[in-house]
Amino acid sequence: MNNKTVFIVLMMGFLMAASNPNDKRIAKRNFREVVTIFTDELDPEKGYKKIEKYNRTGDVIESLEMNLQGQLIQRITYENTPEMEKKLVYSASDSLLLTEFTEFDSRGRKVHYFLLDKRKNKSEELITQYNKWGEKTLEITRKNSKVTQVKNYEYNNLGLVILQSTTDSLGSLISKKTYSYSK
Amino acid sequence: MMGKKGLLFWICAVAQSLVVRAQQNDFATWNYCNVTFKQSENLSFTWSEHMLRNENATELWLYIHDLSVNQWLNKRLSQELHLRLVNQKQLNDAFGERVLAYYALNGHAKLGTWQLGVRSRWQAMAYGQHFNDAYKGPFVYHRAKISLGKSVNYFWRWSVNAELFQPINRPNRKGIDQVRYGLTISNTINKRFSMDHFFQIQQQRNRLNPYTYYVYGIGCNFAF
Repeated sequence: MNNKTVFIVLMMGFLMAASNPNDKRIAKRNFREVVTIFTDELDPEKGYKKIEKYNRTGDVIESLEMNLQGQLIQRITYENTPEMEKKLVYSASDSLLLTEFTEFDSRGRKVHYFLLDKRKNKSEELITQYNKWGEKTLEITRKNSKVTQVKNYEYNNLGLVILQSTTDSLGSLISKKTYSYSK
Repeated sequence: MMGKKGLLFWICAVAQSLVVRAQQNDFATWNYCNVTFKQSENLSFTWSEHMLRNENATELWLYIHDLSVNQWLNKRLSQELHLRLVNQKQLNDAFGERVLAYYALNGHAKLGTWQLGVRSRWQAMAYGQHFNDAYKGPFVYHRAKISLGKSVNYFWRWSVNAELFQPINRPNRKGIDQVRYGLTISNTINKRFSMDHFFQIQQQRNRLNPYTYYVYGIGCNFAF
């Protein structure tokens, strides 16, 4: 390839990169660890200290929360990739308190959300499915490991939703909405 | 906002002006039909038929049969693999066969309400049948394309594009041997059917007898 072509291909690559600014660019500065100390003179009990650790791409990977005396209250770890986000909360004695997990598909849409909170003894789960046209067709909600709600969607040729029905765990219809559109 | 009738008026006006401008039998038409079977949101298979007419659209120039597999890798990247049979009219009015395979990598990005697309296409083309004396090739090309488009609404979208043809292994052609500029207006009828109207200038370069073609095209796209 001659220099002109190389230049054009490089410019095209530059345009692609410039057109997609990384949302995390602001956090991409040099600090790798941020310490936040909060004090409330009127209510000293509210004071806390937080140490947040960042990775090279500017994402928080660990957060340590402690009181002003330096005793650890809880530790939170984060793991973020284009496919999923995971948040784990540990107590001071390093037992797992909370799990929050979000999974994305190749188009960046949320397809699976899971939350397990041991302190409140509850769990939540949301599963979303899309058809080959990219339309959301199914939404399943689970609470405390039991299906509580199933939502179905149907679309017309223009991709507009024409029917949305909601059923409970036994398949009994809770609601049914039909939509019609004027031309 | 320009309505359907307004857009159709301008499309017809562009087509008319092209016919008027064709001074040296350099006006051509390009019609195609794409039929796509969507296996999933990210994977589809397409069968295409193209027909091009030259000499001010009075003679059949070439016709093309194409099979392709198309895959979205993520929301910004997609790739295509094509197998294509091209029949082009030669000087003796007989149609010569060209077999073509190409791989294309497409990048998609949004600039506010604008859509930017870049395409890198690597193709290998052979002339004639393999056991024939007239067989030539395969000749390798790289084609780089950039396009910028904007949706008017769900039904209408327009875009401009430019494409460079770079021969890789043709000893008698060095540098960019063709440049194409184009304007495309896409009309989505519904999610299964859309139409493209386009005007394209094809400038041949670095050849013994370079031509410039003014091409007006209409394409239909079906998806299932």
